[in-house]
Amino acid sequence: MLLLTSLAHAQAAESAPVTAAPPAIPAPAGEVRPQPTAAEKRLADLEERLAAVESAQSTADKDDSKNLFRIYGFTDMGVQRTWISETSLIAPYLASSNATNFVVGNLNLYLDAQPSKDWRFLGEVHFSNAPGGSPEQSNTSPPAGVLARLTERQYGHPDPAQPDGTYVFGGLVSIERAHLDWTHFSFLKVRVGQFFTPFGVYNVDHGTPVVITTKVPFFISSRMFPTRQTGVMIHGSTFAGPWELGYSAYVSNGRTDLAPITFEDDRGFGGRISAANEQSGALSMKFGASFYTGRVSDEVVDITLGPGGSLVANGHSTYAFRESIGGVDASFDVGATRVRLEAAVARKVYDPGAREPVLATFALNATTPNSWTTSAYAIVAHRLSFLNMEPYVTGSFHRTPWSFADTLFELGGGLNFYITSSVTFRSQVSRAWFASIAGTADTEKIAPEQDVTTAMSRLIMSF
Amino acid sequence: MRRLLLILGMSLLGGTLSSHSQAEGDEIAIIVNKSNPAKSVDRDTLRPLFQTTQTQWSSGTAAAPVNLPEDNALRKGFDAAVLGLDPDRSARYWTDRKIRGGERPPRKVSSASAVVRAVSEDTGGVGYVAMGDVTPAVKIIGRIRGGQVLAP
Repeated sequence: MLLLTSLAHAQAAESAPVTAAPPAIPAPAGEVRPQPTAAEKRLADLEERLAAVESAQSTADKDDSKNLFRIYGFTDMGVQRTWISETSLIAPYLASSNATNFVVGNLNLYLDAQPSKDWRFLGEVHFSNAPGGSPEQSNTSPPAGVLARLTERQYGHPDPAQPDGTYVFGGLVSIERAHLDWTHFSFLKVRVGQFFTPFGVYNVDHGTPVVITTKVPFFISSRMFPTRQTGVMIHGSTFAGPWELGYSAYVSNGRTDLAPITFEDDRGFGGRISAANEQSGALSMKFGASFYTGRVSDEVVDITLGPGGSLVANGHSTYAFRESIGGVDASFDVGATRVRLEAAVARKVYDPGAREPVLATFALNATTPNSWTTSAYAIVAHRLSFLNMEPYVTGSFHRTPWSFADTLFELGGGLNFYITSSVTFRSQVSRAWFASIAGTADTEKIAPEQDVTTAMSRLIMSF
Repeated sequence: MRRLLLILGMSLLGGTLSSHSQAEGDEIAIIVNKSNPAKSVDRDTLRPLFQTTQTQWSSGTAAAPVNLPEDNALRKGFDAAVLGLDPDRSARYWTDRKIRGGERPPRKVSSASAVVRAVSEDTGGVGYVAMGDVTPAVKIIGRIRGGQVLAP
């Protein structure tokens, strides 16, 4: 076998396109045979030459540092259902309420370019069927006695490129992130572009192959902080023994839910500090604290008749507020057990006379008050060697002054199966219910039953 | 053809690169570029370098860790000793890092000789090979034996 291996090496070396060391010259006839030490030296020399040829071959063929541009991603498909009273005002805003649906959950592609050592571009795009099928207020006049009618946005449209009236179905391609990074120093890196807000754990983990739960915690889906922002960030880390001490600080356009731009020059600011000890396999823990503050406003332009019948434009905001959010998080991996904890508190203060109207489907002629919002969740998961399964439980609460309640509680549990290193099955059942702890909201007035039960499963693949 | 005869002779003498790896496969040598001033290295230093969370040596030189393929026995031994990860968890670790948008994993080459070459060509190079595959082109700053990172 050894001989065959060497033959293979030799043949490969002969056919290799690289320039190898010059061939050894055999000793002339009649010359004295070299001493053993000389033979060993010669053998070592030959070995070195062979190694050079072998490494040149392998470097050319399989050295992944040559991959300056990479495409990878993840996707998940599943089944889901939500149970909720048909009289609930929340139901129209929940996907697939009271109907079982097969869904394409995520299809995310990453574009990763590193043309030189200290520079990198990372983009992530999410393909979605939204807004097709998403709830919206009907444009047509509702029947008599109906205050407002919610319907679904049309999903399919005639393809203008097809003369036979073929329909095309599809939706948005959203930029999850797109940023350029300068990474020369590990303690000081610069990021420019659109990035996930470095707030807590879940928001950066974000991808279904990584996060433990199937359902996104209300901590994230409530958007109590902007999940992604566009701006400039510095970040980095340094080590103190086994502890990695990290930080990030950024200036951005702030929360830009209405448009990918800001309407005023007040920036969003935020940052995060963290300490992590990743002794993988034994005890791994990470603690963090995050902060964000920024202003939010809309912009409308009223066109009016001016003096002499000329048209005059008047651009202004109908609502504007400042929001400030602080949060803490902790992650523990103790052997096969994983624990994730996050909590945050947010303060929202409107400019005088510039409060946001409450959705007409929740309350008529109401405006949003200044508010405190608190939110937290916890996840405990334990990995079993049997079938590589991981049962978990989760609980959360979210307190904010809705028009019909002030507190949301949610309890859930699920089971994950780690089928291969790139294929995972996740499932979850959870129950959420609203309450009026402070007694400021009248749940009976709005709807008799707002509780929601959700069942979800996803087959996930990263590639 | 002359090369083929030479290799045949080498084989008969019992000296090939592969035989080194097999004969001394239990002990892993941690190697760096010869210009690296470090004399030894411990697990706490190696771990962030190979997790690419630490991108520089204490001297300020940019670190250039070099990995072997996931199915390589040396890689498995190194990951277990330094990162505390078995092959499945190691694969998941790097998948998670990709999805989170973390730094790229270390450069990966296909053979021990390619590791030696990569380390010898980069002043910040650091890699691991079987003791028998170490050449004078690189410097040993640590060993892994019995799952422990030891001084050279």
